[in-house]
Amino acid sequence: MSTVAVEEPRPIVAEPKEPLLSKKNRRLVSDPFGDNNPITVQVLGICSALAITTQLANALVMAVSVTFVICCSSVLISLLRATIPPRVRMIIQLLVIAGLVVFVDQILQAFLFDVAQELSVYIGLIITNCIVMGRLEAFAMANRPWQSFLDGVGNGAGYGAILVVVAFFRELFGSGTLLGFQVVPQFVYDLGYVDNGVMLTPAAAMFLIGGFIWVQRALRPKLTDVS
Amino acid sequence: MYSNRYTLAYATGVTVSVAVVLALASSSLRGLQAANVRRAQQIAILETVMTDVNPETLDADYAAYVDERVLDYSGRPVDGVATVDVDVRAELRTSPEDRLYPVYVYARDGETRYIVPIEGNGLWGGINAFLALQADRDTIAGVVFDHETETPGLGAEIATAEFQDRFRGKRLFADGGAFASVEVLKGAGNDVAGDPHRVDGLTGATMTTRGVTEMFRDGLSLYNNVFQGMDP
Repeated sequence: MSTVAVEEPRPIVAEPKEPLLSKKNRRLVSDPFGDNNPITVQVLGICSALAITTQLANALVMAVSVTFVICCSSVLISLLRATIPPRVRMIIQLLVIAGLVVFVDQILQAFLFDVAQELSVYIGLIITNCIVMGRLEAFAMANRPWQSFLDGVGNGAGYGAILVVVAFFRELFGSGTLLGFQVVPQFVYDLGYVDNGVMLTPAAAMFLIGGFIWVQRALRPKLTDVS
Repeated sequence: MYSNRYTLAYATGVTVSVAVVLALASSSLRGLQAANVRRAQQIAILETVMTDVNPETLDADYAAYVDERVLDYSGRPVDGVATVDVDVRAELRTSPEDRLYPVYVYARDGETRYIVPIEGNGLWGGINAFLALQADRDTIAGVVFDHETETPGLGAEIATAEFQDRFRGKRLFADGGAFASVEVLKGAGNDVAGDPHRVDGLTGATMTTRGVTEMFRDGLSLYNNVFQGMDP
């Protein structure tokens, strides 16, 4: 797990009340889709992005699960932030994350058994997804619950968006299906087309994500010095 | 600055609350989860002999075709024990005479198949299988493997139809009736045509396939006696 620069918790002062979806708050959700994307800009959460993106359905469930875990843990940690002793703050964060992940796993095993079987170990690995703890350390420890929630939504969705796009290409070109439905028609196979086996290996996700990073940084030169 | 006592109490408090929440979730969802596992088992049992298992009519199909039995070493039915209560892995550690032998008898259109659950260990964790035998209780009619944490693309390939099909037509017993088991060979590309006790292996999955060989040997060696004593 990579470490994230720790922002000193700011003293909490009474701020003037601002609207729930002020411009600043909207940016909390929209930034992770663009200039602050956790995968393509911060390059966090890569291992799960490589592992579970062979099928679109798995990527969607993973995106929802991670978003749920980030949002809930951000709100909880933000509520507790004034009481958490700094010396054990990361242990407390990890406890909250691990508890939520096990909770998600239990829910999936009860209501979405097939998906739980398919994702098996990767659900447990949400605990070690650096994005979750990164957001707690860098944001929720110093911000109010609502802002932390929005930050969680943004980062979870920004992560999920990359997952879904990568899975779309991998499933389409690797298996000829989307969400399990055959989309490449049979006559194309009859003409000699074959599914690309490389797309099913993690290396293909590496190329795809590398491609995104290249395109994004070519379009936004200010990002090139960020990391 | 927080005192040591506060820090300690805080950490303890959070730990206990998380534990309580998870314990509540786990115990309230256990029934649903067990039903899912049971359903997955029923599908695996039917898949050993049917190619067209329909999840929507699963309950009716299973009830119509499958007769669950728990037998003792001499093949007599054991009263008061259901197949769901038998822990196949734990039974392996008991002595042959005390052991419980679950058998699922599949009967449909005059066809009879005997399906036996077996469990063993792969490279990273448990592996298990349902093995269907033809009416002679010797020739393999089909097998369905499952695993906990084998490597995708390598050991996990045991759960593919392609690998499972290799067992069809192989035999458990030698011509004289002695237990001969089925061995999975190391690596792929071995010539096993005409050999009733050997199956071609998987490249890069030597440990997992060795586990399969051991699972067959340990789990099935004593069924000879059971099959001889049981009702058809």
